[in-house]
Amino acid sequence: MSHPRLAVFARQANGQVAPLRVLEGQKTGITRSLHGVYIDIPNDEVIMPSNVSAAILVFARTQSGNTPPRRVIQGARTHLDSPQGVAVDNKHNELVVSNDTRLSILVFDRAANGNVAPLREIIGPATGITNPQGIVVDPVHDEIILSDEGKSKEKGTRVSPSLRIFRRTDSGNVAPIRVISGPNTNMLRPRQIQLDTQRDELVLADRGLTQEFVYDTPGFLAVWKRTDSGDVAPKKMIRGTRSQLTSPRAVYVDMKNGEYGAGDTTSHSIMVYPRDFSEGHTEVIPR
Amino acid sequence: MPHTLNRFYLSRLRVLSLAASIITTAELSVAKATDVAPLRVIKDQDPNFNTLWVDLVNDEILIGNDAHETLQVYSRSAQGVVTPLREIGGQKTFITFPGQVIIDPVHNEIWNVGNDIADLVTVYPRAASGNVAPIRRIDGKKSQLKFNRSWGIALDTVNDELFVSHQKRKQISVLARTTNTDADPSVTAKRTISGPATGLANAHGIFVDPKANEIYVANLGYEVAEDRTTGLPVGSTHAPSITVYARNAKGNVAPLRTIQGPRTRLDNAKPIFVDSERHEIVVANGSPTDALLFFDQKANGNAAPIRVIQGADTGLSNPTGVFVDNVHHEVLVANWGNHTISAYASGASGNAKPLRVISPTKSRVAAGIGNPGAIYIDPERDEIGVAN
Repeated sequence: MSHPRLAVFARQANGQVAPLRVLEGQKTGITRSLHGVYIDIPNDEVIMPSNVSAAILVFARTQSGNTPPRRVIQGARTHLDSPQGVAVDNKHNELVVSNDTRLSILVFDRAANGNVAPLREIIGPATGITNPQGIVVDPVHDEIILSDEGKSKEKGTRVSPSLRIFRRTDSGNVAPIRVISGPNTNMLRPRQIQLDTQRDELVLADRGLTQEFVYDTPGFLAVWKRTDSGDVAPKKMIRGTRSQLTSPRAVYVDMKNGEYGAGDTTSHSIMVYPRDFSEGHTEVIPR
Repeated sequence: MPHTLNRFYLSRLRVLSLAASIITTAELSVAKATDVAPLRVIKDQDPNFNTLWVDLVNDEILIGNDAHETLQVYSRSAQGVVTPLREIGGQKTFITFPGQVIIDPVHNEIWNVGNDIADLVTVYPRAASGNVAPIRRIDGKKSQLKFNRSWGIALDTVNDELFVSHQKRKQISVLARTTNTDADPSVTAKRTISGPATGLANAHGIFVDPKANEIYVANLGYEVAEDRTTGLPVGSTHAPSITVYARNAKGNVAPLRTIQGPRTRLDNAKPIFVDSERHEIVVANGSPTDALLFFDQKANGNAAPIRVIQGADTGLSNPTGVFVDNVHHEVLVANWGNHTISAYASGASGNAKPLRVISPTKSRVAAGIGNPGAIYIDPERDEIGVAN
């Protein structure tokens, strides 16, 4: 099982190593099924959503042990229902949340605390949101980028997985300004997404494995231009046996050291790759 | 042995490559993917012991190893660094995120529930080994069953029933012991305990005591419930609890008893076991509390434990599995945090040293990457944050 916690490792850790510090225990409010984390460096905080208690937990960056969050957003006014991803816009002092079961994007004041209403909510059929997962906010271009798993045939009308880009200030039932989706994207089960601000790129972790226990579609890391739209193939992908990726659902971009990191669900590991790598083979992927 | 899963994934990806090469072009999407070897990998090469059960007939310990998604069997009387007697793992087994394991010596079977992304109960012959298919499966993702990240199962061989805890839906499902969704895909639960009156809140460990005719559930205290005014789902966080129900309870029933409150010292407690000889409920607090709590079986309310095992000498490290052996008068614990099984004398308390420690490795260091749902990089401090 996943033991609910935030573990912090040295960036260059390798192998079976202990974390530098761990935040865990009843007082933390950290729960299982935890699918988001964001480090807010200017405010020296770490933000995590709790899917099973419909809450956003905010901790001091160096907090460890069985210690309570600084702030908790939770309650009827918040509209939180299975929050998945979180990100902070330090320019506008806002916190954005992908809100799974309610099929929405919530925007709170960054310092919100308690049972508070969101400042804005992107919600409704025009948004095309069907299974929101990872989220990132781009205050430079005033955009919010959401990864959405879509819906499988088994769950009703099939909706393809996508990256859906909204204006940062959008509210209500609005259509995205761009959508990256379609067979050329290779997306299967998109999860955490990051913005590479140096290269103006979107970097996505895709779990693959369209169905649990069917292992013929391993996941991957994929990179698009931020401005891509439509059925666009990724600029580059990391995928294959040597990569050891099976079902990556987490990704980071280390612009300082030129690396990508991936968190892999089914191999229970963190892999680190060079951000620049030579073109490899062309892989043929069954649809 | 620890590298079994690595080999397993690598081999199945190689099979994928071969299979892909013979699929017709019309069915394919071509993408430029680069197979880049990682610069570094943080991963446990040694097993992480999540849950355990003891077979008192055959003198064996069954372990759920979630680092490599296998079940391992050790000799009950083993001590020190030892090799497992058998291991079940591989694609045919469907073992994924192994939660509670059980040995049923009456029917000579091994049980496991795959939690997290799996929600799948699998049953094997007791002496199964290697990459073997289960003899029965219960697919909790079926729409009529709807398990939710189920971690706990309990087997009642007297009444031939299986109990399954649901993490999120305030629910316990009760199924016939021989339920098999492969043979009968539309099979339903015999009954459920579910609803706001139940006090269920993020249920994990579950235990059935046929002698007392009661069900015991460890709740972590988190829930999302419908707001009575607006009808909207609302999250809330409560104190953890142990709730007790009649064995045949069903529907939206209140617990017979609830152990909850600051005197209980419950903290991130998942596994639960009832010692029907000493009439005690045993739970294990996870890290960083690392404690075994023993309650009177009839305790109710804000009750203090009658005994606690906790301290530096205990060797407890994120204890996530517990079993009381009344034949050899021991309490056995699976320590997820240090790759060990530790055994304590029945009745032990305080900073008690284990009678023996069983482990497949000398290492007591664990990375503990479970299901890394999200990660961050802090380039200023050279740190990686991993949310499980």
